[in-house]
Amino acid sequence: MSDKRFYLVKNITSGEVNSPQVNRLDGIIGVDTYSLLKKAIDAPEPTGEYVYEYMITDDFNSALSLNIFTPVCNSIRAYKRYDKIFCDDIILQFQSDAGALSKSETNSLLTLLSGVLEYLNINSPHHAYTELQSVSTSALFPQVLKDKYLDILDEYLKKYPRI
Amino acid sequence: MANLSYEDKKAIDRYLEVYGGNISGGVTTPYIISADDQSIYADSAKGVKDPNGIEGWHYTSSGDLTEKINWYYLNNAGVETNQTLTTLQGGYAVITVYATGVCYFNVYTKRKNDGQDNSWFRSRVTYLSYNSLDDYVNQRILIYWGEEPSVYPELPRVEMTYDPLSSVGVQELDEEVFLSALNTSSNAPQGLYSFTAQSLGYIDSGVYHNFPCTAHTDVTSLSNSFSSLSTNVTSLTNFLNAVNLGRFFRGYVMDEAEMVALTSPLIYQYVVRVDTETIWEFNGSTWVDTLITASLIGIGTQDQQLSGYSNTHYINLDGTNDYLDLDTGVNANVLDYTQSWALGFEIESVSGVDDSTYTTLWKRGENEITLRKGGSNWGVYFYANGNSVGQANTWRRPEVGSKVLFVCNGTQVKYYLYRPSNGEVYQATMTLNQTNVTNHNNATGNLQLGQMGVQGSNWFGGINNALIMEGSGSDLGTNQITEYFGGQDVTLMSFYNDAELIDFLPLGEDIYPTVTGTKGVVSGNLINGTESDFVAR
Repeated sequence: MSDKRFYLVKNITSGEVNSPQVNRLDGIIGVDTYSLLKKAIDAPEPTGEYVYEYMITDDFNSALSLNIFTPVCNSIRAYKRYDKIFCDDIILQFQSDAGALSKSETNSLLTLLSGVLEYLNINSPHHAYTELQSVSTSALFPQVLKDKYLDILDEYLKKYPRI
Repeated sequence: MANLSYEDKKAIDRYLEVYGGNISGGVTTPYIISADDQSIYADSAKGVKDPNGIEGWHYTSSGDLTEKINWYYLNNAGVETNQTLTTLQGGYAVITVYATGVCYFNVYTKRKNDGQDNSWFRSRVTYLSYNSLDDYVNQRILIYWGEEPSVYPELPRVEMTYDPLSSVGVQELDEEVFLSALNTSSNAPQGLYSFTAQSLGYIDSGVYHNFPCTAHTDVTSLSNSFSSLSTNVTSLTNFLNAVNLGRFFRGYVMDEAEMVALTSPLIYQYVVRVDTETIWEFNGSTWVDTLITASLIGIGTQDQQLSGYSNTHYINLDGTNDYLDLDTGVNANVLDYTQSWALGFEIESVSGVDDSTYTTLWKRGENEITLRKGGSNWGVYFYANGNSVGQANTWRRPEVGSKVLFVCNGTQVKYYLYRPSNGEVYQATMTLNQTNVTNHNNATGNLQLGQMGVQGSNWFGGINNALIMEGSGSDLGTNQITEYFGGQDVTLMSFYNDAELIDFLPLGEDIYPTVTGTKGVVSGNLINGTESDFVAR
């Protein structure tokens, strides 16, 4: 419906500023600047440390509702609905991966990942990501599996960055 | 000829060379006579343009039995002369013959009032030769009476002789000549006469009086052109007056330096830049190239876009965070649930998402008007800080081409929805929840269109032609509702000049991001958008 493209750019290098052709909104996390951009459909793509293009406006709206872009919000922030869906899917993925384990193995894995699961259950993917980074790998939870979940979380959090 | 300049003589000689042949000395009054000269054609038929393009007076008898010609090309009415039947030695006409009907000459003399006069003249002397043109059809000839003219020597001569049967009166030689004419008879069948007279003349006291004939030029198209020119001049004058009265045009500048040097430019004022050949508009802080070609038409277009309604654009809200912020001119009572007001706009496009969430249309402070996207049933909800003060299931959803109007009169709120798919204007009237109004009514700040509120999200779709009213007259009557939903251009509607109509905003016609009402009262900007949101049709 809209003849525009929607981007998130980390540490933008292409130098877009607000103009009749560009609408830009910045958010800061530490030393990094995250920029939400609206650009004309035929305008050149922005560049930066990474660029993510939202393909639907609902995704952009979710990013827009992040605290770094919208400090004050009276209603439920749209990104939390996305977090809820995402975290539910991560849990389902985990349940899928662990579905063949015995009860004792499952108990061991739950113990290992209890902190991660706790954050996923409250729809906090960024905290789950941090928690997962500190989890020690084992035979039940090898590095490759840990990296798989870290990648999934990282990819999501690149689209919806958190403090 | 002695008083004529050399250039005059050259011009006359040139004319006579073309029209008069080899005329020897003694020719006078070589001026052209027009077929539209009523002093010549009098009450008879006028000459018209020759069908073959020959210059002269053309006449073909139409079949009207009362019709004839009496072309009085010698006329001494009102003047005293020494011209008599003695001095008048002859008359002639150069004609191109198309039919055998013979035209002839009459000479009338002035009355002497001695009892021997005839009618309004004393004598009439007629010169006519029957069947004399039979051999000259499609030829140019010279017909004459009296002395054979020496002019036009190359033309065949046909003499008209004295006709005693048609002549009347005593015809004394000292009678003063009154008139002489080329004539045809009435009672002529269609086409009996058909000729074109190219020159008429007479000889008096040895002097030739030669009158080239020209058909009347039809100046209708010229008059129309002049009328059009006059209209354009009037329009230009009106525009100049408008400029002088302080409207938007600031004149011409050579380049950017001259443009930025203009003192105290006001928002919407514009200039024509000679170097870019485009119109530049001041947006309140800087000059912006409108890309409109510099021309009178361009100036008119720009002025119309600034001050008038053209409906060439609309504004597309992307549903993220863009909205219209009307920061100027909106009465403080608008969207206050204790007051009377009306807000409307047209829907150019609308979200296809039906997720039961709320989307905000109009918002001010913590008051907002929302629609709940519930499939085919988009309910309307009037909120005050998230508390409903009026709501209704409509069982209808807005669609492309819809038009909505929200009205508040302090006790009720009303929702009108026009849907082009069935031509229906739906109406829902809701009594205000006064408890929530009392506790939560808050309409402070700027009026906004499409901005998310406490309850709803940003509007997703095209918006156009916003209407803002305030006061008791905002609760439009049945006829006015019909009128509003029956057209788009509110400036033409009966209530446009009512005091309650604060302004009408044809959205998207201004330069991005500005929106301006046609009354020049309300203005604002599109926030968080891009210029592509100003969509041209």
